[in-house]
Amino acid sequence: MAVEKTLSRKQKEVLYGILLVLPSVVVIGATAAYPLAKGISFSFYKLAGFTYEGPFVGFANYTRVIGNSLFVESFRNNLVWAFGTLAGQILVGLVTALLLNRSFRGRSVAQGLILFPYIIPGIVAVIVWRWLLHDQYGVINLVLKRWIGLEESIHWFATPSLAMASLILVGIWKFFPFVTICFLARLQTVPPQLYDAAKVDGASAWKEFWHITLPQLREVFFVVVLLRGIFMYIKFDIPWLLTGGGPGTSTYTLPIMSYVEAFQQMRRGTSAAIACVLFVTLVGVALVYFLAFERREVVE
Amino acid sequence: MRSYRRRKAVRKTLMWAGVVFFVIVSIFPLVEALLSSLKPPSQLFSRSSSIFLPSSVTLLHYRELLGGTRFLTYYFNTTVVTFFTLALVIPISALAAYSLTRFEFPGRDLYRRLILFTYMLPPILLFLPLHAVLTRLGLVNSRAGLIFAYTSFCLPFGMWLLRAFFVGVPVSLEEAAMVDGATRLSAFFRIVLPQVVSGVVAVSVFVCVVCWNEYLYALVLTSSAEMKTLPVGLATFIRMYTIDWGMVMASVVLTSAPLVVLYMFVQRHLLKGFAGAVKG
Repeated sequence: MAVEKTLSRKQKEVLYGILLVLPSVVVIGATAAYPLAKGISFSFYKLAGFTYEGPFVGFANYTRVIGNSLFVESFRNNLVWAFGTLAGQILVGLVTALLLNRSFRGRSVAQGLILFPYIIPGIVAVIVWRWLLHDQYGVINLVLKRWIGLEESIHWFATPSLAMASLILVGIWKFFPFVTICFLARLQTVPPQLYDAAKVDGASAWKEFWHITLPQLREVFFVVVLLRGIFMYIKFDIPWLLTGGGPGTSTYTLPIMSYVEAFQQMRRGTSAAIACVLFVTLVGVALVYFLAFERREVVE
Repeated sequence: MRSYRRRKAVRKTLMWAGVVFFVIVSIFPLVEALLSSLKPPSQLFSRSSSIFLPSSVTLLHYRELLGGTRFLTYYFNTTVVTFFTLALVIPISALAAYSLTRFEFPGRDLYRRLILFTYMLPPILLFLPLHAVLTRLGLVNSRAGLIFAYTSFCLPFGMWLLRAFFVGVPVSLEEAAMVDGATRLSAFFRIVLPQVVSGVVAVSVFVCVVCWNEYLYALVLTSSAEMKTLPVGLATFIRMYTIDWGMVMASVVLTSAPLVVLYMFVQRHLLKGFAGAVKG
């Protein structure tokens, strides 16, 4: 009798658990899992024009895409954009986190203000920076001309060799506060005793940073690089809205190519193939990174 | 001793210089947008006198924006989409996250891992199939379609973040309540939920910010001006042949304003949620 009762209670728990999770399973299935499967299958079909129907073509979309010189260039640009913005974010994020980790009057106000770029919409960042860097009316060109004596306006987004650098700068500005917060959250849990010992030994600020602060940040550093790297690699809106891939194809990235293939060239199978390549390379790099990091952990 | 003190003073000055520099870099672009939106057009395009400050303040650009464009329609659409995404995501993710931390059932751990994976799915992989699915459902170019699309990544995020918060609530709390005769459901609402308010706030803020920001899905899934959201609407302003910069700056200010206000109110909650997410 008692056994039967506990059993049925356990079954009831299982049932209860499943019941509460069920709505999320249904919604995620419909909004994410099914579309994901659909997206992968699209990449194996030759989809005609505006429809989602067409013959199965195997890997033809992939071979065509990979042989395309625009794809190769987009891939290279994608890497430059992702690594450039990632490195910049980490650097600026680290410096700002170290600054905000000190105690001074107005610290929380400064912290609040430094997070501003992250909370505003991407389109706002794009518009504001296009205005700041405008070749005729932009403040930055005006200041450079008036205070530094620059003669000709700099065409930040219209010069092929400069466009990617400008794009990366805006990307760093927009996303560094996320890194600041992650590092700062970790820094605030570093036990102060660690520094006391260093003070007694008369260690320099640099030594303190190198031997105490940096090792403490290692785990969060690992996570931040992974998250931000993935995020920047797949970013569409900022490059698309800021330069549209131009001038020429100097800032053309894979997300831009995937979008243009689907909605301007009307080659939706190819678009799906590009998205899949993007995803597979992403997962591949993330896995290698993960394994490399774990191995190092074991060695030490 | 004197050199030590001097070194300290130098360090302090450097620190302040750094803080001031990064604060200015962070907020200057937005301040410049605000100032530009208030300048008369003549001053906007020839800055002979002062580069930064307006010589006189005008609301001309705001009148033009509200009267001469579809800005208010975009605003309305974004608000509706944000509200309904929230209404869908918060209850479903709270129940699921609770279940994931309190009940044992087959497949639980696998499901937990899949959630993180789903959240990490790049939108660039889903925009095309979502367009296909919503076309078939007849929901392309509708607010409902956008809500559908936004739920695809807001829900996994909500579940993942709330789970970290539910783990932190001791089970003994609800057990005590249930011993006192409360049902599981009332224990959930009266005892557990109040403990995870920070988490719910963090998820809500995330959903609001994401819905206010999202561009790719909105670009692909809306076609008529009546259904466009703020990011897509604003993007049309800068795609025009001649850009009305004063009006565009006014739109930037009004689009950012709710987020800035929201952020000021919840800053403390948000940082706690952030720290929780990093730890979890």
